[in-house]
Amino acid sequence: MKKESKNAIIINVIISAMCIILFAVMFMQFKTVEETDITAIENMRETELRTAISEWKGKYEEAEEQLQTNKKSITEYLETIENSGTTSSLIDKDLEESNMKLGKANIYGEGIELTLSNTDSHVIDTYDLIDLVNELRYAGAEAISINDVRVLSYTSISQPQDGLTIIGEQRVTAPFVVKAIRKPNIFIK
Amino acid sequence: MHKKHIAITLGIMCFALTIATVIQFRTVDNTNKTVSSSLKENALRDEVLRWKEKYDNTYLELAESAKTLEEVRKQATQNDTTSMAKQQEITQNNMLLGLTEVTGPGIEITLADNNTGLTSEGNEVLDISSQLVHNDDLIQVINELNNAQAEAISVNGQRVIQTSSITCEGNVIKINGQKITSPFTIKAIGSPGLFSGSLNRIGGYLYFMKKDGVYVETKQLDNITVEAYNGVISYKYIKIKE
Repeated sequence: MKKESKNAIIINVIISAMCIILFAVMFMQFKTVEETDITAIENMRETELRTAISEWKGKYEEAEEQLQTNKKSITEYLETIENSGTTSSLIDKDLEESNMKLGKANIYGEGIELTLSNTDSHVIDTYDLIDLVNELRYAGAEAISINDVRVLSYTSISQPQDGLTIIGEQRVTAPFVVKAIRKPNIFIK
Repeated sequence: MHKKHIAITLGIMCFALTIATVIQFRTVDNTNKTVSSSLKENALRDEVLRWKEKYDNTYLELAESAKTLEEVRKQATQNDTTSMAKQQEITQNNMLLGLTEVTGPGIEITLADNNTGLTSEGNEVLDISSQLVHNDDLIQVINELNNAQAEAISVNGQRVIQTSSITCEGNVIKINGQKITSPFTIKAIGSPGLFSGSLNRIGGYLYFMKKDGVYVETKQLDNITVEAYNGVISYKYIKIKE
């Protein structure tokens, strides 16, 4: 009798131990599944993070370069003031660069030239030109002109009438010759 | 009989333990992977933050140096009227380039996606995409603002400059390398009456957007602030023709 009850206890203990183990296994499995999901998301994030790094790095380098240029011209100005020299050449240079950035100067550089002509099936409208300008900017174009009219930030493209296009208050007509300055190979997609 | 029972129970237990051990091995394996990838990710995230911080610091310093440069230039040109005029032109140029915050009368346009699926007439919309604000819509509105002689434009705080492109990046729109999303607030400085008249005209771009059911609101304001471009304008490929 004693032996039997002892056995019963042992079996009970074993069964409860098994239950505990099973529970543990179940929880582990849950955890494993959860972690696998996280890994998938993390992999996705990694590429995004890498893009973010290169973007910030590029921006930093640009800012740093500009900062050095600014510092250099500050010292140049200060030196000229100290030596009571004339600053007109310095300011001429700055103004020239500023005008270049704004688009007031004739410029040259590497780039591409596109010629768009109307066909029987498609007449180029303002939407085409606006989209093209946007795409060129996205590809890093530093300067764009259409039929020798420079396209700046405040240049509008409109079409009051078929066949007549106005870019920045100047009239142009097809064929459109679009010029853009940028490293040429970037446009090849 | 009992011995048999115990043997079976023990057998089952051993089996369960083996399974548990195998699973544990796998879990540990997986955990290691997760830990290493999250370590890598953390390192990358740290690096992103480091570069961003570096940029922010340099940018602050840059803004400071631009101010100093302007002052020094003013100081250097105070005795020479020609140079002073040139100095003023540079300041004016910087304003036009979008490097300074500007204020003036203008218009504020809010464009937002419509989530009701109904057009302005209350009909069910056929193409839900037409009720969303796309990058093309922003480009067209900016073009119309420029047509109405806008002097400065920003979209959700991003100044529109010469090299700004507006692109569709899935469910967000990117401008100046920054992601923005609906609702879009377009601010423009210029004649408020001219803006309002030209943009809200029947057959204008906003008219069709409204008709499609896109949320469109225009506000004429006497005083509006358009943010400065928060980046650096630098050209690598263009050279001045002599």
